Amino acid sequence: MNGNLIELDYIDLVISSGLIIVAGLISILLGLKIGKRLLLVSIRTVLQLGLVGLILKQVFAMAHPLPVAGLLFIMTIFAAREAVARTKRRYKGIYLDGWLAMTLSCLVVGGVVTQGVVGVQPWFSPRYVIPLLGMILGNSLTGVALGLDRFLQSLDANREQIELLVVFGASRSEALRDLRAEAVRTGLIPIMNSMAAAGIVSLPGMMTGQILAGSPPLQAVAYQIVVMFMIAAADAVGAMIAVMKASTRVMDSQAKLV
Amino acid sequence: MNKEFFFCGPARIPVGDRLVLEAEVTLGPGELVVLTGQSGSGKTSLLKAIAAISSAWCEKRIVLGRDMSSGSLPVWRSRVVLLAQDAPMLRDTLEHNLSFPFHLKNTGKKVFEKEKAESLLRKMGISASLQQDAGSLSGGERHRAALVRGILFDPPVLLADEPFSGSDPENKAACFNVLREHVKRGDRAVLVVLHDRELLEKADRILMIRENRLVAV
Repeated sequence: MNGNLIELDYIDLVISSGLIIVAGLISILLGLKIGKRLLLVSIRTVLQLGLVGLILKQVFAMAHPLPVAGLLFIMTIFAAREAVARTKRRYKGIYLDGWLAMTLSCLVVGGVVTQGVVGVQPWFSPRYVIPLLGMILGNSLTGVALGLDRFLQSLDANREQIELLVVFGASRSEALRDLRAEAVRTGLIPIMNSMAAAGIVSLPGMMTGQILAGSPPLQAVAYQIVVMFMIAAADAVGAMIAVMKASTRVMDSQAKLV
Repeated sequence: MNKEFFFCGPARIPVGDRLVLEAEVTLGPGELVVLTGQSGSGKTSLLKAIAAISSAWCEKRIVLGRDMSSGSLPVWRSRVVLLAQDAPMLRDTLEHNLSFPFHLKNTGKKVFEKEKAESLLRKMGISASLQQDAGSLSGGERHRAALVRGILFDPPVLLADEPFSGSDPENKAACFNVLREHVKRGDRAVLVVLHDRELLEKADRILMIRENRLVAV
């Protein structure tokens, strides 16, 4: 980023792995029996991030929109899988809906941020587009997962009340209005908590990263504000799309529960 | 009998594992008709089919002389209202529970009248205030409150599934009289599932589900 950046080499990484060994020793001393799992997830972290680093290096080098789009497409598929995996109740087509919610929120919010706010040049510049959209995906994943889970669970818990509205002639949107609102609200709780605590309880990850990479603190703050608003919008858009799609799956257009 | 006031049929309703109840229901204006039959014979399923909230429903649907067979089901339901057997309530005050149907899009210009609601509640032996939480009502009161909700909403056809459950004979008689008053206006009809012999006798007609057929008694 600039001349202040202290580069990490392989020796630094080996030293940092000593920290994991400390955690492993604690596990052995206290009989936590998580030593093996700790070792496995550490290896997984190194392999996954190493792989991502290699892929990003290639994509950055190619400087073409197609590899960027391809990588983002794969990321949306994994994000959708992860979001749906966190819901307890499923329905047919839930993966497709999760993917759609993720992709649309990513495109809408990511489009506004990269093209409108940051003004990335060229428009697909992987150095900006991939991390920003990755952050949008990672966070709208939370919104989608929480929103969907809440919606489907309250649907089961409130079936009688929904039918009560239906027998008096409620349309689908009338019958599910309160449930939808509650579900989207639930999807937004984590980001609202983060926004309220930002800078006071913790320094958000991206800002910390930028400061470490040598950015002036005020620039890092500006980026972090954009990121916070972007995440809130992505959460809201993702949760809303997922819940709207789910409501058309669980109740037909004639307001009959399926 | 005026077939044009209300007709719903034919409905093919699965009862148990294999048997199918085939039924057509016709109601005339001002009629209070009782539906009876053994437990498990398909009474609730038939009412749900008429109200179009189950997978089985009537191919031909007429209410107030209008053929609504191809129309929207929510509009049909706003005219043919089912009072479900378990008398569900929203987690809110009694007033909200009685007034919510008036705020639905398909309701049109009907207005919730608080005084009428209070008077009907008293008539049906419910002493709770409108501001009280509906969850605090006893089982019998909840059923009667659901009946008050239906009568206040005043649809052309009311389908009531055991609306007097949990009520003592005195309250049952009072509620039956309110239903009788309701249909007296002439352009209203009620189909009610009942088992009480003395009330059955006061109905205009009795329909019975017997051996998977709907028959007049």
